[in-house]
Amino acid sequence: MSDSAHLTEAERQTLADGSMATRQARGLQAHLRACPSCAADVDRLRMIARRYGEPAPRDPVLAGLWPEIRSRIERRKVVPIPPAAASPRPAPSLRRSVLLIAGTAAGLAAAAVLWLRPARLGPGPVSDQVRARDSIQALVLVADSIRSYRDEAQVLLDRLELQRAMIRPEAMASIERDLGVIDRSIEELELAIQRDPRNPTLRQLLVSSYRQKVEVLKRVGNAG
Amino acid sequence: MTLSAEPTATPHDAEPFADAVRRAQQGDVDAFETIYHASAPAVFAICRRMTGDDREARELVQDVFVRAWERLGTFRGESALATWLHRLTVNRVLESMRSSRRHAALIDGDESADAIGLESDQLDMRLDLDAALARLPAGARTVLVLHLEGFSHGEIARLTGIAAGTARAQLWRARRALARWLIP
Amino acid sequence: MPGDRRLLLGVVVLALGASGAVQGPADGRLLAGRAVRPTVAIKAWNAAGSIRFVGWSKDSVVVRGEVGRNVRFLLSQDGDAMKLIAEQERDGSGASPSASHLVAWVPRQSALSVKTVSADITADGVGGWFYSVSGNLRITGSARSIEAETMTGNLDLDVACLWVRARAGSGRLDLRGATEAADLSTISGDLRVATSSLLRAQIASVTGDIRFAATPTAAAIVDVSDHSGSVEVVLPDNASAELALTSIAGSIENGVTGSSAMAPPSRSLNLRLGRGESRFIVRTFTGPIRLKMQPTNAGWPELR
Repeated sequence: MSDSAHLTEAERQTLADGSMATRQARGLQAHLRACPSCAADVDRLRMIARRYGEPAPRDPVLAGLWPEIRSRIERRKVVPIPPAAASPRPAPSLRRSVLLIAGTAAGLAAAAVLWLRPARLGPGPVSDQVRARDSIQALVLVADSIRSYRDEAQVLLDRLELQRAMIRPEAMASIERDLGVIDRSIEELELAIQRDPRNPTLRQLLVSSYRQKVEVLKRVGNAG
Repeated sequence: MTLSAEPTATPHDAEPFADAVRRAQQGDVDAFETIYHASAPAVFAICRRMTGDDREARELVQDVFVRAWERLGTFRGESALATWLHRLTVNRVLESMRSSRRHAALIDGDESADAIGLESDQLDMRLDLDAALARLPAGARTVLVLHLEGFSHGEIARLTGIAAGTARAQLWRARRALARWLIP
Repeated sequence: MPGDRRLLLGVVVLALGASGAVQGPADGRLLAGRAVRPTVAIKAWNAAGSIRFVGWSKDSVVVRGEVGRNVRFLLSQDGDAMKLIAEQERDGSGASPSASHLVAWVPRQSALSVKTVSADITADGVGGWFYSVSGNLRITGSARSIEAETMTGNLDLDVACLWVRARAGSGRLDLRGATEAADLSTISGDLRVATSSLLRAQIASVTGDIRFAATPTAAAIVDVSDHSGSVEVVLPDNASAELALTSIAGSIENGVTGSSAMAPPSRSLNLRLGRGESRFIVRTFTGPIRLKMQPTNAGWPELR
């Protein structure tokens, strides 16, 4: 304590946050009991920690952040797809091919979660377990990302326009037909997702459609 | 350390939280969503209090949970998930601050002290805690929030890259300013 | 090629011809022959007609067939790779390419890369990458891996190989034989799988119907997506599988218990058969899902 009748700033602060040595703090307790001014000031400093510990008001926007977070998580699972070659390419090595499919399969296996209830064949009845919720599976397709495929599809569509004149008419007709089928499915799925944004099955179906769209567009390079 | 209790399951899904953690570690993104909804408010609170900016805080919330997903496999359960997320959040916010202009404010304690003195004279109305924190200069706010989150002076010095004595001085000034603003 | 090797190759070809190992005039006249390394990479192009590959145990490539009018045929070696080209000479007329029908005997371990426009592709006992815009593809026999794509043609695979990746657009895609890993998709064509030894499969269509009647191994994972086409899963009655079937707006018929189609809003079905060792995930948007059991002594269902 200073020569004045009151605690120093350092003493008040360290008393308030509990960082003062126990023996020293015990020695100052008597002053706090005798000095309302110092006691009130230390209590004000302690109040900050108490206020800080109170639950913070919930931000209503937080729930709306999840779709973007999920999208970023999915994008990080994308396995880089080699660019499509304009000319016939050599068959991939066995090891690379097997590793790719094995990696995809391992991702499928690692991500697979099935909520199952036993329904055994044989003696006794088999019971169906029917869920009321739309989404029951939690299998996430590794290497899929809606946004990533959407962006890639747009790049490939731009390239298609540049290559259009060089593509055989019958091939172009086939591409446009296939893209029409896929785009209709994408449109239906995106509308459904707007109505039910938390449905993982819808997202997985949309990813599948986008992946097929990208693959059709990549085949353009071979159709010239 | 000022931490909320282990987050409870949200109405979104009635499954036990520990089960959600386990399934998320196995790659179940839907289970991770459960963790998100339960933990996001606390994470957001730290981000908001450290940055003083709602929009930046929301962006950091996203960064934190993406990183949490990537590193969930390293969570062994020795501490509560909230504790683990807490550390992740603080680290992420500090990374963001180091890479922005606020890094200068973090290490320039004198400037922070002057700014506190100026602002405290201009305020004549009671503020809520977050609003008061937002009014602090970045350096002082960071030190104060880290202290209130339970970090020691030495840890704060190491995390912010400033000397322990400077951190302590900033802490005291920030706490004093907040006391004046919050209590008329 | 050194002269003595040419002489040796000629002797080999004649001997093989005499032994009938290399088909005779039915396959057309002898066009070219080359000695090659057993793992040679072969790029082949034939716009129209047909091209057939036969894997054999010789370290040489022999090509027979008939070359179309105004088509230039070329079999050339480029380092360790080989090119087999039947290319229409440009005469400015804009006429469709005339058909060439080729048969090539290649080492079993060679890696093919084949592209056609309308020519049908057939391969037996050799793998690689096969692509046609509108031609049909038929791949049979044993191979290490197969990638096959056609935009409007049909794809018929009856193979024993580690890995298959197949894509069809409006045409049909059939996979039979024994494959460990399969990645299959069509846009609007029907897709049928009746293969054994399956460990991993990803099967998808947008509007085509999918029929899966295969024997999964224990720990197999099969993922099926179809937007509006139907999905039929036929499993042997001794199957050990966990199934998760979901349709957003389609029906789910469970042939295991004989229960009728699920009424909305319940459009999910989880089942465990036996010990639940393999995993099936099936999802559709509006397409119906049908689960059926096949008695194990009834023989394997033929593809209809």
